[in-house]
Amino acid sequence: MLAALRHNQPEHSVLPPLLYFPLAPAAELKEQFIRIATGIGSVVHTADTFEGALELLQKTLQPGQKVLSTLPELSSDGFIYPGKDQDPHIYADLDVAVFKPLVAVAENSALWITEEQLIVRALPFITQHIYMLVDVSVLVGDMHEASRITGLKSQEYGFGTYIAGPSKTADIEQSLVLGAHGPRSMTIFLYGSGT
Amino acid sequence: MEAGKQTHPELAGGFNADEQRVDWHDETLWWIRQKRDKAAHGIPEWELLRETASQIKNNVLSGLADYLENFEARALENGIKVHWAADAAAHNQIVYSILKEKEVTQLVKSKSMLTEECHLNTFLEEKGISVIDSDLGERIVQLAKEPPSHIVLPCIHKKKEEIGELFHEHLGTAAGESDPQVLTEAARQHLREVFLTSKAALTGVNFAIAETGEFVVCTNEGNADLGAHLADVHIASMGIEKIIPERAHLGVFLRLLTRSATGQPITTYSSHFKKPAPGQEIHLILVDNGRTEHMGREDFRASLKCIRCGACMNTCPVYRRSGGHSYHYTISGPIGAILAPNLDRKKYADLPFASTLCGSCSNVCPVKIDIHQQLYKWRQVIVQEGHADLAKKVSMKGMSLLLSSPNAYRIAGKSGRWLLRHAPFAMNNKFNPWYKQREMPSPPEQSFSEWYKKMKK
Repeated sequence: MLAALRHNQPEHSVLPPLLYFPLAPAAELKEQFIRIATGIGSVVHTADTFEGALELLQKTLQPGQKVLSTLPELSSDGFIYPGKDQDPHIYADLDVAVFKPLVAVAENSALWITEEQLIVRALPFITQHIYMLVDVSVLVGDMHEASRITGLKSQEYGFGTYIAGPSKTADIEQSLVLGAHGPRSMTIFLYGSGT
Repeated sequence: MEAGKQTHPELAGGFNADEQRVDWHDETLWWIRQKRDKAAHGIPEWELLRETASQIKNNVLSGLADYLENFEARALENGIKVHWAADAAAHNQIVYSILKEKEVTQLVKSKSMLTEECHLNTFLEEKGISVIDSDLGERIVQLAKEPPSHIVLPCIHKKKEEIGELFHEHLGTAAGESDPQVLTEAARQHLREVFLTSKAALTGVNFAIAETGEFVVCTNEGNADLGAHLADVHIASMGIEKIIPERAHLGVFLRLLTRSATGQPITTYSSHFKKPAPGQEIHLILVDNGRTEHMGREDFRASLKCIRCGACMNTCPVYRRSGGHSYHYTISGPIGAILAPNLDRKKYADLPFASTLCGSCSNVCPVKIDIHQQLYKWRQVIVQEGHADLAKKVSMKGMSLLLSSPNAYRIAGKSGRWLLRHAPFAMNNKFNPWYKQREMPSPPEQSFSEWYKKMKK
């Protein structure tokens, strides 16, 4: 198969240079991120500090919800903390899952998260609602910068994903419905000053 | 729906019988095209992105064999099992043998046009394995026993009332229920159960990275991920052209893909599968199925650059008014019309003619495939090889005689104008395909050369 392919391929064509665009000021990135995230159906809360964001997060939880946290800061009573190598099926009735993504992209509000933070790969998809704690300092402008950072050797992963908003579909007459198969809502707690 | 031997004009004729539906279909797709424009215009460097993506894909085509070898080596290091399939039958057999070994009887599948191309569902069902398509649009057409009519929007041809009827019959929703919110919720509950009980999942592949051996799957619904992460076995099927050289190139394609497709800034999920989870298996099938042969056709190989965004369909005046099923091939619209003849020039001889050659498809293509040029070139190949239908051959011969003789051209023009004026029924009848769904134009008083002669006096 490959011999025939080699024979049929066109002559060598060079790769173009990698694209790079200068980063906008932090305040601009933050404004753009919030605008785009809200535009695709996420809810965004802002806080000055991580502690402030946690406080806001606690307040938005409803009594009786089954809440999972992947953050050590939030693994106290009332939160489930996932364990490595667990069968993901045990989370079928999960209401809320809380994560802390590694990179946030201003141009499309995508949040990059890998197995390290997820612990169980199925979690951000199986939960009914997803909460994201995002440090303003992880904001980048575009996917070129995001691809560069998430591809660093130090960022090695077995599974990683960009998540932008709640799961959605418009397959029925192009009417947008949030909550297709994955989370019905995404709430982002954006914190810090970016310094 | 097996299209049988009906051609694009015949099938489009059926679609055009319902004028209101045609208008609705046309307007819906044009609305998506407008959303694409808005998203593209929001990126100042959009044209640079298209040019870069095009050059990256040109490089991929020129070094595909090496990239595939590299990809395989890295993927194996990552613990992914790699299979090679020369054709559709080999692909289907590989999927079946994996499922058989694991004693799996239910496969949950996310969107994969490649498995449509290989007719995997029918093959597996004959072997007693049930296949459940999990993308909402694909599930709808699966319940309706139809193929997708669009690669990104599989049931774009269906009205919500028709979907309501299907769901009433198959999923037990209330009779007459057609609210998209309610119907989507019913599908969510139904498919949740499927995700939770399936031991094997199959997904497509949007991009496979030669440098790292990982592959990327993009969905909005989260169905590919739910299937893959809840199953013991994840099978991913990809055409060999889905390779990109380096991980850093991914940014370019993820910026272009959904903006071109639906005007979204990115899909909800862009999942990178590099290593199987502990206790899980990932099988990756690299499928040729005519692609190597296609690569050898200099005029047509650029269509292998396609990233399946569907922008060419949304913008195409013929697609919008004839519907995806009239193309009687897995991939409809302009890109389908240049891909299909690679597989079977006789069977798909009609498709390159289903175009006005307006060039809108090439203008929106994110990887700059010369789609309308290829449509034009395919027409010549098809006529030369004798696959065009008799009427087309005779009329082409007639036209070429007419256009090569100025005298004959003048006489024909004159008599044509006279005929349209004095005996319109000779043209405006069902024997003239140009009269279908159209009025013939009113004839001008004189030809340009008659007018020119008069003006010179």
